[in-house]
Order: sequence, then C-alpha cells, then structure tokens
Amino acid sequence: MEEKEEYKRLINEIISRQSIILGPEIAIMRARGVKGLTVNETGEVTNIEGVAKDVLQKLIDQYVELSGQIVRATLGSIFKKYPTVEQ
Amino acid sequence: MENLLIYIVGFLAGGIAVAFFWRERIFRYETTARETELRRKMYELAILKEIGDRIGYSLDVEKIVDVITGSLNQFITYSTVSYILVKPESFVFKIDLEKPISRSFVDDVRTRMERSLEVLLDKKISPEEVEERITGALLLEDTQGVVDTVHSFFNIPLVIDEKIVGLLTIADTREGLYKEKEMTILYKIVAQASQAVSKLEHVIKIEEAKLNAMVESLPDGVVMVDRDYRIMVVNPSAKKYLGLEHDPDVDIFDLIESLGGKFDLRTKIDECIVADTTLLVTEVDIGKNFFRIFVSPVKGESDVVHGKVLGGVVVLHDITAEKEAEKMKEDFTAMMVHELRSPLDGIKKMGEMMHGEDIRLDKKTYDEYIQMIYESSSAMLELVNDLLDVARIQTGNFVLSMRQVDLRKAIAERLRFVGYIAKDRKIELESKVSDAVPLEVRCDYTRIEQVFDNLFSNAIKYSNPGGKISANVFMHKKGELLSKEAEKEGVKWFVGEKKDEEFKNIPDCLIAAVTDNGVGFDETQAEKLFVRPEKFGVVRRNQRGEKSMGLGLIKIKGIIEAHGGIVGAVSRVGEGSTFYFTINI
Repeated sequence: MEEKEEYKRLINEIISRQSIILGPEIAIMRARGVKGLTVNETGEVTNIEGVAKDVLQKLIDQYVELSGQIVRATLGSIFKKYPTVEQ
Repeated sequence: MENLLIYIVGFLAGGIAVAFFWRERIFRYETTARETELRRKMYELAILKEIGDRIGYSLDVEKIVDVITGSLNQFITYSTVSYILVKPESFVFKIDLEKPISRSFVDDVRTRMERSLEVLLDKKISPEEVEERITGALLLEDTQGVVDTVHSFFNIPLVIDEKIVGLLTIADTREGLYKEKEMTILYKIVAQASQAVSKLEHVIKIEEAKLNAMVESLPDGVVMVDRDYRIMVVNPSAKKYLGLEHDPDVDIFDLIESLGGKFDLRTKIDECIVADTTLLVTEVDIGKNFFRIFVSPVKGESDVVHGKVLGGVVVLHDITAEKEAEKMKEDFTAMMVHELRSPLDGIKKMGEMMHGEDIRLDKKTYDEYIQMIYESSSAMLELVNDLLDVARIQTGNFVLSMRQVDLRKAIAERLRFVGYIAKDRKIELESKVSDAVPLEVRCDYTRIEQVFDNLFSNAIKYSNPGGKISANVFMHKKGELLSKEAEKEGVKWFVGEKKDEEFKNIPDCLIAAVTDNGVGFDETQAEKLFVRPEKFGVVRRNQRGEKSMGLGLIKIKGIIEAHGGIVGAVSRVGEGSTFYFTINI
C-alpha cells in the first residue's frame, strides 16, 4: 500500500514536470492513455491498477514516444527523491 | 388472429428494417472512420514529405524550424506558432502571429516556453539573454483594451544528437482545441527532422574529424576564430609556437597575451575580413622564433552560408631556419670578403713594390716577395677549395674515386709534406702502421691525403715547440675492446677506454689516429668540432693566435662518412688531443 502511494507521488511529479515541458494538455492526455493509471482532468493521479512499476514504465514510454530519450534526463532529479523505486 | 399475424409480421419486418438500418449505420461509421484515418495518414505522409523536401540537407536549425512552422497552418489552427533557439551565449525567441493578438498573450507564451526550456536545460534563463522577434499579424498592445489569454498550447522540444537545441510551441486563445492525434503528428514531424539532422551531423562530424586530424598534424600553426573571436580551431603547432601546449581551453585572450603585442590579432582579422583578402605579415618574432603570418577571411561554401564570412584563419609559418640560413649567408659573405681581402691586398702591395728598380736588383728580397705571393695565393686557393668541398658534402654532391691505395706510402708522403713546417716549429713527427694493416686499402687516395693533411696541420697548429705528433694505424675487430687493441699495438693516445662500448658494435675496420701533446680542447665540445658552425668565421685560435675556421674538420667528417667510416676526437686540456677515423675493410 505504502509502495503504491510512493509510486503515486512519483507519477504525479512526472506528470507535473512534463506539463511544464510539453504543456498540460498533451502531458495529461498521454498520462490518461496509460492502461492501469487513472488521472483526473488536472493531471492528478487518483488510482493505479496492477503492477505500479509497469504503469510507471508505460507512462515514461508515452513521453519518450513524444520527445525522445531526452525525457529520461529530465526525470533524473525526480527519481533521486525516490531511491527505492527502480527506474 | 389475423390482426395478430399482421402485427407479428409487421413487428418482424420492423425489426429487420431496424437491424438493417443499424447494420448500415455501423458499416457507414466504420467506413468513414477508416477513410478518415487513411486520409489523416496520407496527409501526415504528404506533410512529412513536403517538409523533408524543403529542409533538404540543411543543418541550419533555424531554417528547419522556419520550414516546419511555415507548413503548420495547413493542418492545424493556432493563434501563434513560436520557437526558442539555444545559441552559444543567448536565446532567440521568434513568434509568428496567425491573427492579431495581444502583447500579454505573447508574453504568456514566452514565459511558458522559458519555463519549459529551463527544466530541459536545467538552468535559469534571464530575460536579457533572450532576443525577441515577432512576425505575422498585428501585435495589439494591452492598452488597446484587448487582453488575449492562452487557453490551448503544447511544446515540442527540439533535440539534435541528444542535445536540446530549442523548443517549438503552438498556442491558441480557444480552450481544448487540440486533439491528441493532431499534436502527435507534429511531434512526429519534428522528431523526423531532428533525426535527419542528427544523422547528417554525424556524417559531418566524421568528416570534421578527418579534417581536424590533418590540421592537427600540420607543421604550420593554424588558428581559426569565428566572427565573435571565439576560437574554433587551434592546432598543436600553434599552441607550441605560442607557448600554450599545456592549456586545454585556449581563448582569444590567451592568444593575445602570448603574442605580447607583437601582432595585433583582432585588428588583422578585422582588416582581412573588410578587405576580403589575405594579409601577409612578413616577419614577427614570437619567443625565440620568427614567423611569417598569413591572415585570411573564412567564407562559407555551402548553399546555406555561401559567400558569408564565418571568421578568420591565422597561419603561423616558422621561418627561423630561413632566417638563420640568411644570416649564415651574410656571415659567409662577410667572412669571405675579410679572409680573401687581406691576402689579396698583400699580393697587390707586393706586386706594386716589385715594380721598383731597387727590388728587382735585390734578388734575395725579390725571391722573398715571390714566396710570400705564392704562400698567400696558396692559402686563398686552399680556403676556396675547402669551402667548395664543404658545400659539396652538405649538398650530397661529394663523389669519391675509389682505388687500391698503399696507406703506408700515403702517410709517409704526407708526413714529408708537413715535415718542413714541423721542423721549423721544432715539432717531432712519427708514425706507426700495424703489420696487420693490409698492404693496400680501398679508398679515395686524394681525399684520404686531404684528411691526413688536415689532421697533421691541425696537430702542428695546436702544438708547442718541442711537441710530438704521432700517427697510428691499426686494425679493429668487431666485439673487441678498442683500448686493448690499441694497447697491443703500443698506441699512445687520449682515447683510452672511453670508446670501448661504442666500438664493440663497429664492424671490422682500420683505425687511423693522429695524436699530439699540444694545448688540447674542452672535450665536451668534441661533437661540435665536426659540424657546421652556427656562424661562419673564426671558430678557434691557437696559442700563437693563428686562426681556424673549422672547415677542415667538417671536410674530414664528410670524406670519412662517404667512405662509410666514423670520425671522433678525445682530448685533455693542456695535455693534447687525439683525432681518429675508421675505414671499412
């Protein structure tokens, strides 16, 4: 349960950062397209279904598909805050 | 019953009709969706092709982004399309207004883009660093009562070779305008353009590496700067000449400081760009060396930058050796004038005096004058011959005339030749040729005679009255100790064991040595005796003040090396010296 909450916080931060980089519309649209991830209209994660690690990977893949591998570099500082989460 | 039947049939018919209607509707819906998807894909392909064609092989990111933004209004609606490009020390923000828009809208777009770029680059962007360009429709000042708000927008990072080079942004005043599919097409277009440029840059980097390798290995110093005096190229030779070998990041200020005010780099680059020509600075001394400096404008040859001046290139050509040769030529001329003028002057004066009646009648004085004229002209001829021989040796035009020579006879003849002078100076001469030396040795008789003449005459020159000069010839066997071989032959010389190691590897040969017990010389200078002096003129004087120009020993070295042998000298100051050479057997 605690682990899922941590993933929730991490994903929230990722969506928030991508909203700054790409703009909130596309960042939220992409996040809402991830299976197992429920995101409200403001971009906040309300639920994660299934394996959180897989959901996180799918979300990153969504953003990588849009703007390439540079996305990973921009997420580095966020991941540092969550050392227990596997990248 | 009949009504019920009609009702059932009617119901069934209705049901079938409804089913057909729905089926038809679903079919039409699916077809339309497929057609829409197909049209979208075709359109996407067309747009990508058009943009690809227009971009061509350009590497100019600004031009590429301009092509993309110029094509966008064909398939997406927007109020503004804008981009920020990352320049080396600044940013360019360009926004194209599709319709009249308020200043606050533009500012909002710019702020959002700057924030995005700050996250991407992980650095702060100050407004002063950003150059703003606005094109397209009318920009309405907020004071005109119109305040537009950004309701829809999305950013596309511009990435080339995994580096952020800018950001492209579409924005509109209307809310929820953009669908995911539309936005995705744009991301695809930009990604494709970035990929093409990255590939092209990779090819260029390979070519650049080849060119760099060539420039790096050039003996001339090469420095290239751009229009803002940023160093684009500085090769190792340039760093070495300017004493910047250990500076990994050379900038224009380092170069200016190294030049120490002797060459105004910036002004010269400016001058050559304005004059559109290569400037030549004939002679600049930097450190210990002299340079000829070429300064040229660098112009672009490609379509994009054709004819545009990209900066300047400075080539430092080291002319120190040329300057030394020039100096040597001047010294040589001065020396020749001096050395030949004195005896010529003497000959002229004696000739004038010999015109006199009294002299002609005084046979003894007349003969003395004739002898003096002969000696002076012989000395001059010897000098000229030495100079010619040294010149031949140095230009590789020295030819030997090899034949079988009786070395014992040759040495005896040369000792007889110098015997008169030695006797006059009270110097004893002796020679010993080992029995092991063959009766005949293959060499150039005349040249070996010259070698002995020079060695004997030097030994006499640097010996004191009562001195002794010995000539020894003996055999050396490869692997044997030279000192032991000399001892066995009873040779008294200054070589001792000093050359044992060197001679161990020298093949079987004959060794000739001339030893005197004269003034000797500083042994650390031994190597220098056989090479061309740094400047022509008198290089050594003996105890009587007689001068030597050092040509004889250079000539000896040339002759012996042409025979495949080696020369050397060993000495103790105040005790004497030994000069030796080898001839291969």
